[in-house]
Amino acid sequence: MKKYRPFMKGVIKVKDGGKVALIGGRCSRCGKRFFPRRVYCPACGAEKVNEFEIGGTGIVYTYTVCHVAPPDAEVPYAIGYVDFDGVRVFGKFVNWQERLDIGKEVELIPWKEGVTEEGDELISYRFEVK
Amino acid sequence: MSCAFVAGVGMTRFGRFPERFIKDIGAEAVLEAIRDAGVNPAEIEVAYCGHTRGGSTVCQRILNEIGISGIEMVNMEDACASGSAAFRYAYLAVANGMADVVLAIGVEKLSDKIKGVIPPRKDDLEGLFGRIMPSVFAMIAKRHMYQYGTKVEHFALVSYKNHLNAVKNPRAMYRKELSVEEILNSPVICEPITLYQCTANADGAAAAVVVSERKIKQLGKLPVRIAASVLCAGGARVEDWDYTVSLSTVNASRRAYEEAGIGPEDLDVIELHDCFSVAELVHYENLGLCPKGEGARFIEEKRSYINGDVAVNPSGGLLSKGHPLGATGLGQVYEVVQQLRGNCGERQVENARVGLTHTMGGGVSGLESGACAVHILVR
Repeated sequence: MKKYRPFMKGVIKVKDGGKVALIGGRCSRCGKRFFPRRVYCPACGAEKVNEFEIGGTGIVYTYTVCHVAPPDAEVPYAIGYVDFDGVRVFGKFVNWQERLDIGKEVELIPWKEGVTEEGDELISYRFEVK
Repeated sequence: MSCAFVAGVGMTRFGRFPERFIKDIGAEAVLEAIRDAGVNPAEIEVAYCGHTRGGSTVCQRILNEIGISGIEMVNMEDACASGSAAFRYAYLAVANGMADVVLAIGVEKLSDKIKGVIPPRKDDLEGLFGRIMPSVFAMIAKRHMYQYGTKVEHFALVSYKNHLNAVKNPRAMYRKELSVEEILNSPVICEPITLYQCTANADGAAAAVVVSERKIKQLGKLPVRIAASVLCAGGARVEDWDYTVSLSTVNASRRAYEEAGIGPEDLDVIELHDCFSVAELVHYENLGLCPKGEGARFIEEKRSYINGDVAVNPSGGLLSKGHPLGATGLGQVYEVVQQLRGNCGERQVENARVGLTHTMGGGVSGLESGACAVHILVR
């Protein structure tokens, strides 16, 4: 049976129905939130950092379209930072041609990044421009 | 802490030398620095060498060419700030009374390793998604334009100025004046950054001999004092950080000004990390040369030109001088020391007394930068 695996440990959760959520950290002492999650709070050093889910609709903070790339990537591609309820996340855009701009709404969607040797799907995420 | 001084500097031309070994490139800069300082190689007590891709024991391989062996040698990696890290540790060794004569080397040979853009790390979240270095600065550019109304022409002007400066620097890689139109019409790398607004990977080396007060008096050299030395990693980005601000540059420079007992208005010459045109423009703001959001006006009014308020990158900067990663920080020290000595000919900043170097290194997911180094040199 085909299984789903996160493309990188501790970054993403694959939920029922194939939806995804990113794993952020919220400090139990200062309340600051960040992505990705860290063991200790990078703002105040508190040990207890709670997990919270990031997903849904976000707003583009900044972006660029790259016309050169490392050898294995296709160009052009669009990357940038998106604010999800006050937490800024980096990622790659889909459906961006002639639509992408600062302030635009995007949806966090699941993305098949590849397949493992065992045939499991590696699940990542993309920002789909609305 | 005692005072530490730069007694000698050396630097190869920056460029592409595929036929040369890294040890020979390094040895050329070290020999010049030692001769410039007037010290005997046997007097060197400790050596620090910054590089990113030289492989193991580069310092030993370089110094063995010259006939220096058996002393403490440390190889250091802090991405593009590796050379500045080596310089800082040479400073610390002297300032803490550990040694009287210390060598700092920065060296890199990239021409046989990387063509074009440096591949990002696959084990880094942002690297995996293709966050190449020009894209970082392109995203800063987009946000700066959005927040402050900066135009692409402003970024191009930075590149124009630095290419103009490099025409007068025989050790620079690119010594051709470019018009703003040529810069803007060159191929787009990451929107809105075009090719001629990007630094070029290079081979090269630079070195400095750092000595104690006792030694500088004995050598009878013009004392160039290291008035401040700060090195820090970028902080974690938590909640509503501003992408147009390099907080590590802000913090490191404020600490350096305090350490040196000066302010940004006292600076005569600056060599800063202009890996991309937009970087220099935002670092005017980060270093406190102008208020936040006014970087565009600062370049438009030519305040960073050689004969402006403060000469920024009179060497041509990374944009035109070239960027041999590990050598860059010491290349900046070389330029500032020569400026303070009045040795820079056509690109000389008149009566330069106080200079600053600023080097950034690397990118890590969730951190504002990899490393940031600021040094202040005073004559």
